[in-house]
Amino acid sequence: MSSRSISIDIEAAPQKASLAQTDGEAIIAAADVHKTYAGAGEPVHALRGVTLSVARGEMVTIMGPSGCGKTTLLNCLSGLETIERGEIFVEGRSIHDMPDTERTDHRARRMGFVFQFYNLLPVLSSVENVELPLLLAGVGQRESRDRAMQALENVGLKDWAGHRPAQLSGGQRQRVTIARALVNDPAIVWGDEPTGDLDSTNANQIMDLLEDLNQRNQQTFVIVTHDENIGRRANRTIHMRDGLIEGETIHRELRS
Amino acid sequence: MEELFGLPTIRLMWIVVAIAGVAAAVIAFIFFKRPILVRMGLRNIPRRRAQTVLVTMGLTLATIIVTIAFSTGDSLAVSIRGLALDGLERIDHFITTEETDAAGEDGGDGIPNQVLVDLQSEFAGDDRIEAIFGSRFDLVPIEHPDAGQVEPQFFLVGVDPVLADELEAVRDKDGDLLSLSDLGANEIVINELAARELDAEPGDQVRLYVLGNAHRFTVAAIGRDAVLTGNLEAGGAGGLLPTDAYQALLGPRLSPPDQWDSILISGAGGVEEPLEFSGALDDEIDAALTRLARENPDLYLSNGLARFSTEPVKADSLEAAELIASVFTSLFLFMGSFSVAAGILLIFLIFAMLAEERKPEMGIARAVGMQRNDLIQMFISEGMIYNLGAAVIGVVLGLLFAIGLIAALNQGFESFGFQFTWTVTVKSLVISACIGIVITFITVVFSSFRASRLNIVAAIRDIPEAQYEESYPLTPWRVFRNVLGVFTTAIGLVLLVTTPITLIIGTPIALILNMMGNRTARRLAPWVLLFGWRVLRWNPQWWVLFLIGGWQLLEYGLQQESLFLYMMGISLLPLGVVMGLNKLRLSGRRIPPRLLYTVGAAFVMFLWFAPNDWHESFFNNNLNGGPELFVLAGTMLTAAGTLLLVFNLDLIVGGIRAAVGGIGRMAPVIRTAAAYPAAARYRTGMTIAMIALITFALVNFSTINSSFSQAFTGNDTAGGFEVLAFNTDVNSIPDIRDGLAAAGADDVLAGIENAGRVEAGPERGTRAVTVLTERWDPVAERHILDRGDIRLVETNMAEVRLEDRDAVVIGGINDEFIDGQEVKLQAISYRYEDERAVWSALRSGEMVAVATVDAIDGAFGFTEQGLDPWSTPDSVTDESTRLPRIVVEVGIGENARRVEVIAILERVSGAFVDLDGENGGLPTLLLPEEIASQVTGPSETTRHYISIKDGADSLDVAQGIERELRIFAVDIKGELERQQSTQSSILALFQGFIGIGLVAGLAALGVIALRAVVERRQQIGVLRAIGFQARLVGFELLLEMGFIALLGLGLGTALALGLAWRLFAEGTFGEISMHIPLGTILPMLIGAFVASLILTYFPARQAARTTIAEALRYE
Repeated sequence: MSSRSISIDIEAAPQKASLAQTDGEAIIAAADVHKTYAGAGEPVHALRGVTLSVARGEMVTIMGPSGCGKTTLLNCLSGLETIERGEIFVEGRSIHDMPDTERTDHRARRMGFVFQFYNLLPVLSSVENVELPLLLAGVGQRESRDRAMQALENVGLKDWAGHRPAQLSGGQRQRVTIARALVNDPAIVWGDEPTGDLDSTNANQIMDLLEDLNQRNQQTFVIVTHDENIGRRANRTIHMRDGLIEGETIHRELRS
Repeated sequence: MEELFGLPTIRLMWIVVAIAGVAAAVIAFIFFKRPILVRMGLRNIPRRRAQTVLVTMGLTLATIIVTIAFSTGDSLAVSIRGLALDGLERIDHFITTEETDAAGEDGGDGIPNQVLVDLQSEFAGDDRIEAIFGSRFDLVPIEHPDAGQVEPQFFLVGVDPVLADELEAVRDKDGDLLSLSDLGANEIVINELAARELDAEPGDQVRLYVLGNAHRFTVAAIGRDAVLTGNLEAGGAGGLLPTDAYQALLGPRLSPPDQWDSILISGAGGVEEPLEFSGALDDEIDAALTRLARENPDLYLSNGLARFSTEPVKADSLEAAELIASVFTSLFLFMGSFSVAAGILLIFLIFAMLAEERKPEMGIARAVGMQRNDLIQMFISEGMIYNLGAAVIGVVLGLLFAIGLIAALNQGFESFGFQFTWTVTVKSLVISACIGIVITFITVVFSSFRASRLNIVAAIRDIPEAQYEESYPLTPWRVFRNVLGVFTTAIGLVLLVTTPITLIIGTPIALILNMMGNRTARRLAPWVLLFGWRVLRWNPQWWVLFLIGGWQLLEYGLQQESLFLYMMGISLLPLGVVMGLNKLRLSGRRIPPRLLYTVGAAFVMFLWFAPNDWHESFFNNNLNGGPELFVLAGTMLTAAGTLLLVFNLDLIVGGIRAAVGGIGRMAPVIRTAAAYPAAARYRTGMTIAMIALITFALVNFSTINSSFSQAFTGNDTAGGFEVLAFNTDVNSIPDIRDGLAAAGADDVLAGIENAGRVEAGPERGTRAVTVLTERWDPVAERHILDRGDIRLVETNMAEVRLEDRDAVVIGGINDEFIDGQEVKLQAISYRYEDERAVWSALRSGEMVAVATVDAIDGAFGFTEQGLDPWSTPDSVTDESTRLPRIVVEVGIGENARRVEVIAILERVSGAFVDLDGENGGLPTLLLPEEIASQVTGPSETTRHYISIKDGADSLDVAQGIERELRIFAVDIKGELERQQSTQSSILALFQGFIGIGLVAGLAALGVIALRAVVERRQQIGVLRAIGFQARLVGFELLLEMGFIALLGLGLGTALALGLAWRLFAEGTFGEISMHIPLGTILPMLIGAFVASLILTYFPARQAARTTIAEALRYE
């Protein structure tokens, strides 16, 4: 697989473009995004003017050293975190202009999340964890259960539907998380180090699964990772340093 | 207060001080040996302020309860003592006639003057005695015409004025001396109560009525309420005259010149000084009376029995004050024990939470070499700081509560004209603070042991302990070790408890004594205890303790016929079995805990809901219990109920989901809200138990009290009458209608529908009672007939003559009484068809009688002889509705008559015709008026039972009778309402007191909610990320805590009503039927539920405001 690296001229990046209109293919478009954490000491500038766009159906990984702002960027793009300056459009809508309830609703209907530490609810069984987003979206109980079982089957855990997270291995838990992320057929799946807590075998299996789902369902994946092997499996890798995008590597072109 | 539970309070104080000292010594030891552990413990306190506040709040509960109890006891002791001393002033001993005691205040034969002369001569020169003198008293109606006020129950006292002045025995309300010698002719001293009732002041003219004649007097002064000013009972209006004036007023018939109503003895030295020798002096007076009786039996004996008796009235009154204070303190401690138990559970819960929160750091500390003991010491240090703070706050809050409580008590007792003064002694403060410290210390030590038990790997990784649960197979060695541990601990405890000195002085002194060679078993106690505890300490097998302890308690309970010990034992046994089976592995597999605990808990509940008869017949043993069972029942039922709930929470949750799970987008909220409590069994169970325990106490107490209140103050109580009027020997009205007509009181007369009469005979005339009845001889059994619910057996009549058994009070009833009464009959003779037939027989003047329900219990003394009361084919009991043929002989000699008891009056509606109501215990027999007069001779008092016409006002009729006829009349309806109001306020007071414990349950919810917000921060972040709205996160937590609160409130209510139902159904409270006071219970439950939501609101809001990205990063 051939890769090509592109360096972005930060100064030349379009500032405050009307992102919603200019790039019809971009499902995510961000321009000049700033984020500062005001702590007890000096403020930390986590994002210092990030601009990027992600095409529908693309699998993008974000890489960079610790503290470069990868997770902050993911959180800002997905609307989990507020931004200080700049604009972020998801599916043509400014995610930060939405009120919290609408943004939350949007997440429930159009997004899925996979976190490093699985973050399943320990008190619910696998299938109950998976069907939670559907119930939140107002889908009926029976349909939710059927779709959740289907999602678990897709990740190879149908037989583990009644087990609680504590009764599953790390790999299995992450599969459940993936099933939960995909069950409501989201447009975008956000992953924050989804394989970070797994051994290489399990990590590869999870990535195979994500890649397969991406290719089969044409869903957009934005994944933060430290692992270059995982980065290479995406269409494109965005490299970050000190709160800025310092370049990107295209691993394979997105099929139209 | 000098004594509590039979233990001198001073000794109690030293014991608790010593134990608190031991606690302090433990901390000092830790501090000096390992100061770092104390510092590690202390640094946690300022880290979480809200938690510190909640912890301290929970720990204060025990101290608050004990402080309230002791301070209330002190207040009562001091107030009642003050009342007694003010009331008696210089009077220390009474000499009264036995007959006078029995017949009540209305007199009877007096004490001949010769007795006074004899006693004065016997004790002449005794420097302990200031004076021995006679006094006269009687009930004389009084009127204040200018104010239009009449007081028919006015106690007029007559004493020697010179002697009274010498003794300085009569004072005004400010405590200044009043001189009786200076009283002019027709001048009277009235007491404060009389002045208030009559609206009279010094200088006012009043009229005293004797045998219908009015005598004018001028009020010379208002005297302090005291025995000598006629305050012979609480709320008693009265007055005082010099002896001569008294005798002139009442005349020789009512006040024979050579007789006294009582002889009073005044000790030397003042008001309180004579108390020092009161007991000894009373013995000497008694001995003197016995000696005099030998010398002059005609004067001193009647029918071979002593006619006169002495009573150390002041010492007795002070003893009664002490007793009342002690009873109240015990009552408060008893009711507060639920709150203390809830407080202890809260401490356990808080420490479990603290341990969970610090699990990773404790795991790391253990991994790098910290001993388990070090963790324990760290927790104890931290706990003791909370403890000391809580003790101080608890005492202050307890005192504030006690002040409020005394104020509320005063409101309740306002209508009785008595006020309590809030007081607390240093001794009580020390005891309260130390008991609080000791209870908390013990709980903290146990909690610390539990908290320190952690799996290092699970703790470091902060994952559930269950995954690393070590299995402890039942090896013979483990069992042996635990049995040995249990026995040695028990022996050590017994030795320790039986030797308070060992407990106080403790181990170091025991060691020194041992070294000195004084090796007694008692001094070995701490060592045996330590050894036992040491053996038990690591991985204690509590099931062994439960089994052995339970079995021993059951055996001992059966042996002692103690229902308390038996129930405790039989409740612990199944729990021990379940806990033991839970350890068992069958082919490596364990029995499902749900099955075990569900069966075990259900069995314990069955044992408590099974009637007492079942237990007695199962073990063929008698079992007796008291109110202490209430606390045990609450504890055991709550424990069993909680186990049943927590081991089946998933089923309940499933049920809830099935029922309401499909409510649109609320479905995931309901699901998670129900799932979290089900997943955290320990904390959910503890919180449910706390809330349930207090709810149980509140609901059970309210239900039982309300049922009693309903029974005794309900409309049935009056037996169909609205007004009750009493004749006295000074002022007697034979017929109320005639009296009113003669007085021209047509308006009063117009309100009267029916005026029945009961002529109460002198009780002493009915001492001899013979009961003739059919006795069942199974051998002689010939015919069995079925009629009603009594089995009739025709037998050979076996007469049982039992002479001089017990007294009954005889009442003669007239036709109008029979017409007006609505008294229910509890049991009717099989020879009479129904109630109508019974009353008809009485009306026709047959030789028949009806008896009050006391006749069954007392059964004319049969029980004292070990014979079955009215031993018949089916013995008559409280539950009997049919009576066999019972013939009693009443009266003596020529006056003796045989009458058949044909019915028993129902207790409640018959309460007002119980002629012995005030003293209680003696049965009343109601006979046709004519027969009663043959037995007792002329009646001494007449009671008028009056029912009023529709539209008439009972209070107007009662006041009209008092005004026109000057006899005492009670508005029964008003009186019942007054009683009900007093009862309600006192009931509310006690409920409020018990309700303090709810603070523990609510605080537990707050602790859990706060902990949940921290613990689930990451999960909250995920929920928000996947689409939970912020408000739903907060709502979920509210719902979750509300769910736990509802489970606790529901469980407590169900158990309380279940137990109440059982108690009422098996007749524990006689024929009183159960009444559920929904008006009290529902607001209480709703209030508790709302309070739980309010307390959870703040953590819920905090949860809702969680920043998603920060929460997701949180570890």
